Amino acid sequence: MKTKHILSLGSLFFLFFIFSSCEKVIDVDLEAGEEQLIVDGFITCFFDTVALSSGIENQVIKLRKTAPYFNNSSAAPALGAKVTVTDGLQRTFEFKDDDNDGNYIYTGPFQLSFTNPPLGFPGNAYQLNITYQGEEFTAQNYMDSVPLIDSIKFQFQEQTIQGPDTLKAGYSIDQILSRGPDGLLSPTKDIKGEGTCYWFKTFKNNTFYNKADQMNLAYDAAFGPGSDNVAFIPPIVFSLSPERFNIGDEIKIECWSIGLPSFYFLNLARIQMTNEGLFATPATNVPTNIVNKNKNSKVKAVGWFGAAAVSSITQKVK
Amino acid sequence: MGNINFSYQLISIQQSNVCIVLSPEFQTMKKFLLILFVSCFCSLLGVAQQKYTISGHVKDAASGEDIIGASVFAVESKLSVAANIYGFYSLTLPEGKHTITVSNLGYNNFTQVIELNKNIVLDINLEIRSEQLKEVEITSEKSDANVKDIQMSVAKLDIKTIQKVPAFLGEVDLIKVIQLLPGVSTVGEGATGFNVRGGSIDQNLVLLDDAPVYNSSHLFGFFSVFNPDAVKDVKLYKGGIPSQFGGRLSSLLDVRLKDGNNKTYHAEGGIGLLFSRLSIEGPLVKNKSSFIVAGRRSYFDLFFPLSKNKDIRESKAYFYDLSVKLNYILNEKDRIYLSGYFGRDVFGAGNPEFGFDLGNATGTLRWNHIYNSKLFSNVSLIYSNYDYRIGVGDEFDGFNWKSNIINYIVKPEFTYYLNPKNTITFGGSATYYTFDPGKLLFYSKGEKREVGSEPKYALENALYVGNEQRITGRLSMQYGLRFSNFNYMGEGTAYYFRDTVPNVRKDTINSKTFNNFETITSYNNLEPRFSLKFEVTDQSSIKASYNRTTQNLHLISNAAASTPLDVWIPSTNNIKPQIADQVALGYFRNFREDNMYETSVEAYYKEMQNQVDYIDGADLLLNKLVEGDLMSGTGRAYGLELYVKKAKGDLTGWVSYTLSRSERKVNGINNNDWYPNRFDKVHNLNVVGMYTLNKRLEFGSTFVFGTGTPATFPTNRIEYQGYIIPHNISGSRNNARIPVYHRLDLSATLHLKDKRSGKYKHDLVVSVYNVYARRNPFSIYFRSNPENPQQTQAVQFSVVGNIIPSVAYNFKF
Repeated sequence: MKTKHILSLGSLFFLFFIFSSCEKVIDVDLEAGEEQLIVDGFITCFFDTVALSSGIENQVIKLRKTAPYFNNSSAAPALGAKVTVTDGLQRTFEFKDDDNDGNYIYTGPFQLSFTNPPLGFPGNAYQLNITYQGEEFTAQNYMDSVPLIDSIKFQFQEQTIQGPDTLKAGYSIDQILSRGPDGLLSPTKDIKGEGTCYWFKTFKNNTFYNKADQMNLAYDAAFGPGSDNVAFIPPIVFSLSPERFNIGDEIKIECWSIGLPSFYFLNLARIQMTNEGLFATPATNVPTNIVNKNKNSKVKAVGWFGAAAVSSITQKVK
Repeated sequence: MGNINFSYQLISIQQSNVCIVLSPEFQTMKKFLLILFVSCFCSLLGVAQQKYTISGHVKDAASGEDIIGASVFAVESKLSVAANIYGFYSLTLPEGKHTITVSNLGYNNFTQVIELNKNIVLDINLEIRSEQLKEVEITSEKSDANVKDIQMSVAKLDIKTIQKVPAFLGEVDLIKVIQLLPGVSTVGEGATGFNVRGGSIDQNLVLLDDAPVYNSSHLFGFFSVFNPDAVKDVKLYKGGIPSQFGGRLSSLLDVRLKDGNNKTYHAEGGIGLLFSRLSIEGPLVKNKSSFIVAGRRSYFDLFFPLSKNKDIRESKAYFYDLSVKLNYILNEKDRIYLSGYFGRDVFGAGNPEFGFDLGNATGTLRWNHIYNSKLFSNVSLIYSNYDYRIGVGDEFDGFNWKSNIINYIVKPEFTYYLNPKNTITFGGSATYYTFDPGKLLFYSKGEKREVGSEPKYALENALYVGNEQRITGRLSMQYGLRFSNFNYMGEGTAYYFRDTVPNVRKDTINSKTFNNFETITSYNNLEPRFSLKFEVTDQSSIKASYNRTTQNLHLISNAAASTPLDVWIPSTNNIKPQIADQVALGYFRNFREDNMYETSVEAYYKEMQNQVDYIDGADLLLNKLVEGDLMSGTGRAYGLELYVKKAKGDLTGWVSYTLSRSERKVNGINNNDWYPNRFDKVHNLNVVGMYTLNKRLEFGSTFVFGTGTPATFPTNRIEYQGYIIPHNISGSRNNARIPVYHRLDLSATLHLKDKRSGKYKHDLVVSVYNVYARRNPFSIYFRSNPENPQQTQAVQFSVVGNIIPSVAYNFKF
């Protein structure tokens, strides 16, 4: 019996030996390009299960500067900019960098009425305006609605082999559930309308799974057109568990309604950050929605201005 | 007859709405060619003398197999002809006594004196040159086809040579051997297909007994689908492509299966690390009909059920193929061939079960008919299918994804041996295509959705005529014209796009539905072909060629190595036919009296129009609006190919060196400037050596060296939401190169002794791939350190990073 087992394992190992490709970190000399302004920020509206919590969340736009690719320190802040956001109701909100760290923050006042909603509410459009070093930049986005998540269903999984990796035994997310108008729980569905897009973020004990290959994006309920208004498909639900969890772990799932333009941006960013293997596609720059108002100016900014409603659920594995 | 048919075709060409888009450089050449073409054909009309014709088939005496390309030579009149791919030859000579000599590499020469006073049918059986006589025979052999043939830019490989080259995992692979020829390269190990003279992989027409093969790989590109035990002959045309071939820009790979021995039964097979193979051939009716059945299957999955691990036990991973051929000689004038190929790769694992399977199926029915000693015809009916399926789960949670491309082809071809100075070929083809670029049915909690594109349909018609003309003893020309007509048609929906900013997804402005067989758009193209040979001496010649080729099928793939999921789509109202113009010039020279050394130098320049490219972040699969993600550009490729071959003696082999560039220019990419293609290699050197030590032991070796392929390196980093995104501030494409590629492979073949009858032959092949275990780069990419996403690193990816030894046992009886 043992020999048989070794034989079969041997044949598998043989396969991996031949075909599991090898990767090696190498030194490469890269040219450094000139520095550019990075715009990094989402106008958000947080919903915790059913309660709107946007009223207490500050809105943040980070301005940074690009650096040579191998510069491994945090991006340098872009200081001294004037940052405002104008919404669809023609209200302008000023974002200030009081700490001089490049994080431009709107700290209030917040309103909580439907006629005069807070900054950051689904169904609104936003325009960002930045004046930095004599250049004026602008960007626009729109906030879609987001499905609310009521609870997470965990399931115990045996140890499995996935490609060359072995996943240890433990819990993974089997379902995310929402409560319908009838009060019954059912698998969370994509919101009706072609091209509503989502970014699912998983946190374990308040730590975000922050690797590029863990970025979990959905176009409608799947990865592309044609999956409107159904429950999120298994590959998206499976990706909510980047690893197996243990009893007692506190798991938080956030669903960001990023919208179609931001989906294309984030999806291409994810591809560029994980562009490995036999079937890699040509390396390209990610697009940006930050536009210099002066079309003739050679100064360009990079990054993305987004808007998203965010629903979340936090639940302990038990 | 040939003349009548030709003039009819000229009329039909004039009446058609012919579109010729030539770059200015080729305008003058076009005029010149047209004049030449017309004047050459006119000169045929004056030729009409009383002569007699000797015709027949050239065959292998032992097996009855047709011998392709054998040279039939009339000694006194110094006229010769080569047997066609069915072994048929026809030579028209003046009345009187003639000494006919027939020769082919690896066979004893056949000589017979004939008295020609009427048309004669003479079938010739050549005997395989026995090993003992080899030393003697060397001097009598005149293998000088490379100098004497009008064809340039052609490589012919016999299966015996292919079998001697050291093979990856010991699996003999003709595609891998083709990659060792000048002008042919690959983007890297494990990549599907091959690149010919700066063309992309979809620009090669791969024919298996006339049937197009759309995916020539098993296991994503590691092995080719051709079973070496069933293959008779392989010919690669890189340029100067005769007018009877069309449909792809860059090359034609013509693979011919064996007919099967029509005298006695034989079996052949082997066990390697990956495949086990078996082929059986023999007569159905002795001397009249024969068959061959050859199959292969990978067998490592047979060990899976023995595993303790449930996941392995329930996994599937295997591939197999089956090649079958039958032929029947009805009478002296008619012969029928039926051949088929069926192969699949199957993978499956997990619960719910994930399954993926893909493969080709082809079938060819051919009818050879000899109208008279001068007119030979072949009519082929062809079917080809490539499809894949991916599925997981059930009708509650799961999906099922299918895609295919199917061809139905009718191809009548005629060869008219007008006189020893002119051999006219003419014919046509009609191909009906159905494309299913991919449809995904999926179920999420019982709700059903369908994604993907509708099927597309097309009809492609072609007419051609060509002539090979000997002008003087030393000067020959081959010229022809091919007319192709492509109809993209219903039933289906055509989409119309607004083309605004290059490299940004195009918006749909309109769509229109079309009925069955209703033309959506059609394209007509004229493709002139021209080759010239001038023999400077008996052992040297200069050859030149020009050809225009068009292509109406496009493989939609923007990955470095094409994936099995990539789909073919036709030219549409948005995608124009690809067009290439190639000129080539070569000098061919043999050395020593016995032509021991063959050498050649060829230079080529190729321009390509309407090359398909992709917007950044293009969505190519299951996207019914995929045409909105495509762009169009121009390409150019040029190079110099040096080749030295030693075909005889204990030590045989070749050295090939290619200096080349392959570039592309697309609005919206690389600041609208030229950039090198992903598969561009400036230097490419291949050294292949085979040595016979004695009757029992043979060695083989291969050394390859190539410039690293281009890659795009970033300059800056964009920190965004905690991620580090690579960014190239100049927006350039392929601005750097990965390190050079080089590799040495060795093999040894031991012919084992056998106490049984002399018929049973078996041998042991030990081979070592990547002898010095170099980690050859396939690509370099940039990513965050998995341990600390703030830190970035460059990573070199190698497909094979080890020395790979293997052993195989082969038998034959």
